[in-house]
Amino acid sequence: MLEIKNLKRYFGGVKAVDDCSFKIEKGKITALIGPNGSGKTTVFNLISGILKEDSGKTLFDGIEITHMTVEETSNLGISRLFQQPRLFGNLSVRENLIMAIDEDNTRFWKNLIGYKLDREKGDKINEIAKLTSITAFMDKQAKNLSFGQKRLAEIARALVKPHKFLMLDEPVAGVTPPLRKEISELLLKLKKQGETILLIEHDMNFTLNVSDKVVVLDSGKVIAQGSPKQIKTNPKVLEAYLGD
Amino acid sequence: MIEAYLIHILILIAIYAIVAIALQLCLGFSGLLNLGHIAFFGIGAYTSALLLLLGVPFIFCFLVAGLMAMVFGFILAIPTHKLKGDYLALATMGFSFVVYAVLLNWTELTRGPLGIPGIPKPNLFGFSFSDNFSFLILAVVIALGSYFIINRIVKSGFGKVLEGIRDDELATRVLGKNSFKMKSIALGVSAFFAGIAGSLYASYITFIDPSSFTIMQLIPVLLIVIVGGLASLPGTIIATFVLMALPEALRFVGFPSSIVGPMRQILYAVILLLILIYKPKGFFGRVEME
Ligand SMILES: Nc1ncnc2c1ncn2[C@@H]1O[C@H](COP(=O)(O)OP(=O)(O)OP(=O)(O)O)[C@@H](O)[C@H]1O
Ligand SMILES: [Mg+2]
Repeated sequence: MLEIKNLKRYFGGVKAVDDCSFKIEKGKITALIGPNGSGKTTVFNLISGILKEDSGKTLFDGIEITHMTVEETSNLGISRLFQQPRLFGNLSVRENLIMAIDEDNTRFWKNLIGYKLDREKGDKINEIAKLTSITAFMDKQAKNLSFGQKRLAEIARALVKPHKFLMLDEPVAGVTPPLRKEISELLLKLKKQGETILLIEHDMNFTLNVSDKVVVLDSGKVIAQGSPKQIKTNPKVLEAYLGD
Repeated sequence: MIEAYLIHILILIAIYAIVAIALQLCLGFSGLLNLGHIAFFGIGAYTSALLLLLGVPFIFCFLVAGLMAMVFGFILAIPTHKLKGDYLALATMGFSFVVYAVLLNWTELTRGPLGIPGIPKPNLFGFSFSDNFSFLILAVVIALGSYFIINRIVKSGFGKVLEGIRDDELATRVLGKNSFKMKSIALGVSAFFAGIAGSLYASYITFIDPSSFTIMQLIPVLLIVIVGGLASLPGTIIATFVLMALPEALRFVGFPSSIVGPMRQILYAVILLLILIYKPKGFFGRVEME
C-alpha cells in the first residue's frame, strides 16, 4: 500500500530521518516506534507532504507521491491524526466531521446554489460517532472539549475523511488508562473492518498488542523491523529503549 | 431638514454595511487580516466613476467595479497566500498604499489629487436615482442582496472550510481542501462586494479623490467588524448602525462640526480600546481575536 525508499531529511545538523525504508501492507496495523526525537513524526510529515525530503521516494498504491502537495496526497486517500490536537476549535464536533467527509465543500458555485449532504455520508458520520463514542458531545464547540474528548473527536474526523490509509500519531498519548484501552479496542475493530493503519506510539505494550508489524526508528534510522514478538526480544531495540 | 439628514446617514450606513460584511468574510470567517480592503473600495469607486463619465450605463459600471476589484483580490491572493497574521496585515497594507499611490500619481487617468467631480447618479432602466430617497432604496436593496449572498456563503460547507482555514490551515489542507484556492475566492468575493460598494459611494457623493481610500478610512470599517464580533454578520450590521450614528449624535447634542470630526476619531479609538479590554469577542462574535 505504502512504500518508503531511502527517505532522508536533515534539519541543519540533525539527521531527523536518515535513509529510511519500509513497506506498509494493506489491511494491517504497522507500528512506528522509537525513542523521543527519533524521527517518527518527521516520517509522517514527509509522507503527508508537509515537509519536503532531501532525498528518497514515497510510493502510495504504486503512485509516486514524493513531490505532491499536502492536499494532493490527502485526496489520493491518506488521512492522518496529528500528535497535537488540531480540531477546528470554533466549529462544533459535527461541523468538524462534516467538513472532513464532504468533498464538494470547496466548490464555490455549488455551495452558493446550495446542496444537501448525501444521506450515506450523514449515516457514516453517525456510525463513526458511535464507534468512537463521541455522540454525547457532537454539538459542542471543539475548543470546549476535554483533552480525551478532543482526541476521540479527532480520530473520528480522520476516520470519516474519505481514505484508504490512516496514519495516527500517538493517539493515546496523554489520555487516561480507560480511554487508552477503549482506543486500542477501537483500533482492533478498525483492522477487522479492513483499515490499513500506520501507528506511532511510545508505549511498547500498547503497540505490541495491537500491531501486526513493528518498525523501530532510532536517530532517524530503521534499526529493526518485524513482528511484535521479534521486536520484543531484539537486542538492538532493547538497547535503544534502555539507553533512552 | 432632519429627514434629509437622516436619509443621508442611512445611505452611508447601507454602503458601509456592504464594505463591513465583505471584510467580515475575510477577517472573521477566513482569518485573513486584510488591510487592503479599502483599496478594493477605491478601485470600485474609480472604475465605476470613470466608466460612468464615458457614458457607460450604470448597471455595467456597477458590475465592472465589482469584477475589477475582484480581479485585484485574486491577484493580491497570490503573493500573500503563505503569509499569516501580522505579516499578512503588513503586506495587504502595502497593497493599499500602492493603490493609493497609483490613484494619486496616474493623473491622466485619475486626475490625481484633484479627484473626479461630477460623477453621474445611477440610472437603471430609464429610472434615475437622483434624489436621495430613491438612492437610499437602491442602496438598501443592494446591501440586502449582498448580505443574502455572503450569508449564504458562510452558512454553506464552503464557509465552514473557510472557518477551518481560520482555525487551523494545515489541518484543513490535510483534509484535502486546497487552502490557496479557498482563500483566493474569499479574498476575491470580499473584494467584489467592496468594489460595488465603491461604485455606490462614487455615485452618491458624486466626487472622489484618493484621500477617501487611505488606510485611515479603513479604521471605522475594521472597528465595525471587531465591535460587531468576528464571524457574526448580524453583529456587523448592528455595529454599522451604532458606530455610524454615534458620532452624528454628537452633532445633535450641540457640538460644532469642527469638533465632531476629531471627536469621531477619539471616540473610535476609545471604543476600540474598551472592546479589546472588556469584550475581545465583540458583541455578537463567536470567535476570539488573537
Ligand atoms: N521543523 C523542524 N525544525 C527543526 N528540527 C526539527 C523539526 N522537526 C523535527 N525536528 C527535529 O528532528 C528530530 C526528530 O523529530 P520528530 O518530531 O520526528 O521525532 P519523534 O520521533 O516524533 O519524537 P516524539 O516521540 O517526541 O514525538 C528531533 O531532533 C527534532 O528536534
Ligand atoms: Mg512525534
